[in-house]
Amino acid sequence: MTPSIAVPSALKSGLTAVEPSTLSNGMQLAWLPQANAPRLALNFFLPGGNLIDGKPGLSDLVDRLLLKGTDTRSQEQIAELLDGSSLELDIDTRRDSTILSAVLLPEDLDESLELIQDLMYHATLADYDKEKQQMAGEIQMELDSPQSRASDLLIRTVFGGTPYGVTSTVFLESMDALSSLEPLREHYFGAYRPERMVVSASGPISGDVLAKKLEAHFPKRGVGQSLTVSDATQKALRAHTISTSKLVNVVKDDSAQAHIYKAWMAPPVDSDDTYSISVMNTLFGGAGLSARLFLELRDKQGLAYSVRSSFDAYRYSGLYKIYIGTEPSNKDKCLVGFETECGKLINELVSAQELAETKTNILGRRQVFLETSSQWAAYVGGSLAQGRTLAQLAEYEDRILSVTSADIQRVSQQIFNSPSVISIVGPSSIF
Amino acid sequence: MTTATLPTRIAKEAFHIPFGEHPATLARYSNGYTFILVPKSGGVFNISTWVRTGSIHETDVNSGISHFLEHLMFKGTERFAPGVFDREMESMGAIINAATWKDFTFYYITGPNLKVVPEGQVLPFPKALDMHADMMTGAALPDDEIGPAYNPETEVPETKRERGVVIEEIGMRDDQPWTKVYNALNTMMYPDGHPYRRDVIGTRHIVGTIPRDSIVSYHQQWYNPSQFITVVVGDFDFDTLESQVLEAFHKIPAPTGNQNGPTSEGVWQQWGDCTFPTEERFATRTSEVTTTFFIQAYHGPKAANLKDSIALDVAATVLGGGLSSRFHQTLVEQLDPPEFSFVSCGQYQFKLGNVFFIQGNVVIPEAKASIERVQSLMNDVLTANPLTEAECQRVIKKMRASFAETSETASGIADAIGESLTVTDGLDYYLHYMDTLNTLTAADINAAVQTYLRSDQAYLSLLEPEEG
Repeated sequence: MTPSIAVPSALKSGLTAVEPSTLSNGMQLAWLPQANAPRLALNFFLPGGNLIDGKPGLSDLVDRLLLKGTDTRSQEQIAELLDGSSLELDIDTRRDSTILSAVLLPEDLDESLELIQDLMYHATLADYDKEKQQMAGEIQMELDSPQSRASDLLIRTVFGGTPYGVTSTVFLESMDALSSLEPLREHYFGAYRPERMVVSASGPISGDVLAKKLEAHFPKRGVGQSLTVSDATQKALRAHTISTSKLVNVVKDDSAQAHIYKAWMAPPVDSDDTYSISVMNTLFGGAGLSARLFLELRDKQGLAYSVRSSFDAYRYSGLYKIYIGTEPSNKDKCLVGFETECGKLINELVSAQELAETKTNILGRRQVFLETSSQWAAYVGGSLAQGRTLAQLAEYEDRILSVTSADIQRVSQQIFNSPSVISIVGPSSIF
Repeated sequence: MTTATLPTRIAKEAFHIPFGEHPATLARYSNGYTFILVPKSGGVFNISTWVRTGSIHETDVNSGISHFLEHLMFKGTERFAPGVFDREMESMGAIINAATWKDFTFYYITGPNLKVVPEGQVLPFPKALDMHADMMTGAALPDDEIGPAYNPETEVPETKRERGVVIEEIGMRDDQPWTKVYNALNTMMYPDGHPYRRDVIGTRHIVGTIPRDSIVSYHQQWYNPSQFITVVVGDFDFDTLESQVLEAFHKIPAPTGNQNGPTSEGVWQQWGDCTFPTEERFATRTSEVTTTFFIQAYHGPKAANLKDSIALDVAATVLGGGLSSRFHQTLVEQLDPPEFSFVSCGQYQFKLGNVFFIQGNVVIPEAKASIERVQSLMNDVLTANPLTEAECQRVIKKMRASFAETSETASGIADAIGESLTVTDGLDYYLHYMDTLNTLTAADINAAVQTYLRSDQAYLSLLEPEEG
């Protein structure tokens, strides 16, 4: 008998409370009232991210330059305003979107919206050359971590030649091409436009009040042309595959561990299979201390402290990957362990008990991860920016609950029987 | 239902947490146990038990034992085989974990607070409370989960089990440049034998060879009622919950009198006012990195010294806590071409004395002159350009707002309470942080800077790229 499952009903009622609307400036607003929350969370999602880069790293550079000065404010003045108010502002460029996240006390809303508008509409972008060097320095520091190096090598190998393959090292190699202001301005005026924005917000004010303020602060822009992801790019990414299995490596002789990634292509976010893969990933190695990879390679064999799997569903493609950090001489044992565990998913049906427990794990965690107004705003806005609808979010629980053991076996076969890339950073003795 | 006698409550006090919805309750019991409930509406609960031990009670012989024990606590009890706790908790969507630091070890469950479940299932919270208490009071520490002892420098055993896992964790940390810089810094800053001198995670050799008996003995000494603080945050009522918690923790063993290792009093007496080394103030090592990592650090006040601790938190924010901070403006924004990928400041709160630090990364090949810029800027703060009232009040406003974040999640509240009670032996640090912050002036903050951050008190640790 399949065990019955407890569904956290708060999620469904929470989503029902979301008030979606399109504002007069073209902005999409998804608003969740949370009267008891101490702070207000506002997330501005700009679809595109690295997909609309004219040159590798263009979005990353322009997004960083938002905080470096506007027509009326110097970098220092912006910094003083930010540090002197409750506003916490973060700008993050991802593969599919740029996200400007703001969390603030309600009394600072007007002042914060005025500042955010100034950054989005009036940045000078003047210090681009210095900022490019600054970014290169930060990347160098990040790559001094062998795990980051292995991850970079993996992604650029899997997605080489596509916008999803623009990693830190690719940026370092190609940054000289970002050598004039005009392409940056074109990108800025094309990307930061209200009709391109999905704004998700949550907190202790009225949604109508917020909508009016957003309309007043972010008028339609006359200058520039709205950027979109071209059909050719979308098509190429959807068709992208790993043609043959590869092993790539970087030697780092003083590395205490071998940092090993193995990855396969996976479906994009709009695929119906994302639900089955999410369930498969959770029981395989995606979360917690009771997943299969964790139990077998860590608990039973003592091969690692960190071993996990992840499913990265992008807008037009996806990646399924496993990571382990292990004493270098364990490298082959770990690769055999990966094979064995993938083989079990391919060849054996997951038991009803394990399947049911995995589903309640996913749904319970979702409730935990959506505890605060900022987590809600990030989740809803991120999903809408990825092309999902509120209706699809509302049916998420039912879709997870409908996954069967046969579904898990089917998606495991699709993923693990396809070519893979293994990326390893470690001492020369293991290569 | 147990027949064991439950402890008697000897004190109960209500208190208000910052941004809290309802009064919280702290209760102390005849066996030394402490229980705190913070009512919080919403769909999430947190149960944490904080143990008043960490590397502070270790020696050169058993360094890392607190952390190793933390791993082994998850390896089953008399009631539940290894792995059952993890599976049962995670199958209801709870997040479980633990952490060990210098002054404390804590174990937590954060889960969905469902009020209704299908017939035949139990509600998540009571089940979590039962299994958490069972783990905290009845850990079996089984030999076969610990794994056979081996020398990791010379042997590759067939079975590694949890010893192997922790040794891999040491390897993972060794691959992080900051671990190398921080460990070299601690070696300089503390005298031989000082508990903060050693890395919390211990050494490969000790983890590989320490016998189970030593772990059991340490467990008996520290995992008893007087060292436990249980914090529950969620939509609960104290009067209803108290008996459930006491019942769940009824197995908690009294201290056995087994005092093989250092005691809290002994540590305090020996190291509470010790003299810190002054001979070596600079350590450098090289590694296969492309940039230079540095930490410049100072001994600060004891964490319980609220005014000085918070004054140095403000100083850290003015100097290196945001985009307008002095270090960021002068060393990151104004230098062209760039020399630093970042420079920031912070403070670790420790029972035996805080550590104030300036941390940064230099991206140009010759880092020496860049690091001299940091020191010159610090000297400037100490002499010609002390922190201004405007700078201090600006960041105080920001810090007040950031404090709200702690109150937004059940785990944030539990962590703040647990850390305050274990590191400062009271709730004042958490409850009066904002009041104290509001009273501070630039004069107070500069006085703390002059007391703790003089240039002759600094220690500097570097990790540089290998030559060639």
